[in-house]
Amino acid sequence: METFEFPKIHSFPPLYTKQPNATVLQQQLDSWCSIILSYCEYYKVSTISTTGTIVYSQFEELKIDTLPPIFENKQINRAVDDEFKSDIIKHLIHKLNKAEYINTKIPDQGILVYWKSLADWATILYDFVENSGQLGTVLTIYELTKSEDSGLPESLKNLDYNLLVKVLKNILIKQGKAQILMQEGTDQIGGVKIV
Amino acid sequence: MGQGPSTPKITAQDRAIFQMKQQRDKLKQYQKRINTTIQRQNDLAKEAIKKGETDRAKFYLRSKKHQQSVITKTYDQLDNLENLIGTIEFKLIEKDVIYGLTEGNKVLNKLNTEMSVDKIDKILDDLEDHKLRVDEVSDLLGAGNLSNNEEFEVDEELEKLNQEINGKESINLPDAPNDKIQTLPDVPSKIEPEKSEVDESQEPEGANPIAA
Repeated sequence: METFEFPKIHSFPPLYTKQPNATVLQQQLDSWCSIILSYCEYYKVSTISTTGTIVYSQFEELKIDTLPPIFENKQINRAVDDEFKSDIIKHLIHKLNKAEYINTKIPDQGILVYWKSLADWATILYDFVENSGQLGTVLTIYELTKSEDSGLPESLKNLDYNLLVKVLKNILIKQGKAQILMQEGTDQIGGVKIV
Repeated sequence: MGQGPSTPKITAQDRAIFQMKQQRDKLKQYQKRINTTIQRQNDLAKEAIKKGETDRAKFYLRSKKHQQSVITKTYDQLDNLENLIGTIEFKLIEKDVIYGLTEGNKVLNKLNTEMSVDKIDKILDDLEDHKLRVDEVSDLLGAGNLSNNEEFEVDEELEKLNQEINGKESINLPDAPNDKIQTLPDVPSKIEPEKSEVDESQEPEGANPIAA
């Protein structure tokens, strides 16, 4: 897979220093967020850490540690410090609503990045279940994300468990279209019935 | 959980199917794992041969063989599970069909009891009675049915109106010819028998040359 091409602004040194002027700072935060979103979409990354490292990508073959870092540009010898990183991520979560903590109480579990909205994911999932005639039957999470022979569309293959949980809990269950089954003896969701 | 007004219910059957599907997923994962071990043992055996360690290579190959037989077993089990899941799901659908049939039957039954022959007979009788009553009353009040004569007058009026409205069309129709056709000759009564005699006499004459 070809390496992600960062936009030109990623080689602009002032981008790496928190700007004192409020208006400029807003623009700077927006720029960073748009970089994060297109980067994550390119590598199908659904979870990043609070410091901006990649936690989960839908591409199984992808070697995460070989990817270029988001908050660093070695060519111009610049990197974002942790404090500013946290500002950027807060902006992404609270201002743009394009990301969410997996668990707000445990931020270290990571942040889900919504380069595709939960509602869009829900539609893809629902369409798949409907078109494969599986509405009303119980489906396992494995079947919905990992199984080779369940005819999953490319976009759902290897879907992040945490993302799937959000899609189910925040969208489909609220719409009354889904009910979940827990895996025995764990707090993990094992299956779902979509109607 | 339960706060939504219309969350789909998870039935006992759903749970059973869910458990079987989970079992199936585990088998699939197990197969994946075994496949990778087989691959690794294959590689290890190759390396051992390169190093000239035949016994070690044999050990890896034997182990690989064993794993392969395990895999075929898991496929059988997987097949069983899938079959069972399929059967249960199909039975559930059959149950729905039977439910539909019984419901339909109930409705039909109810409709049939509502339409018993005796009941209908009684209703028709009642209707007839009522009709007679009505006639009787109208007769008494002198506003009964029209007499035959009056009916005839109505028909006449209808004919008149009909001619007024559709009159032109009826005038356009040509009269049927009523003059006698006189050109046809009378049927001859005496000549015909003579002719037939001639025909008969001619036949033997025609037949003679064939005999000679």
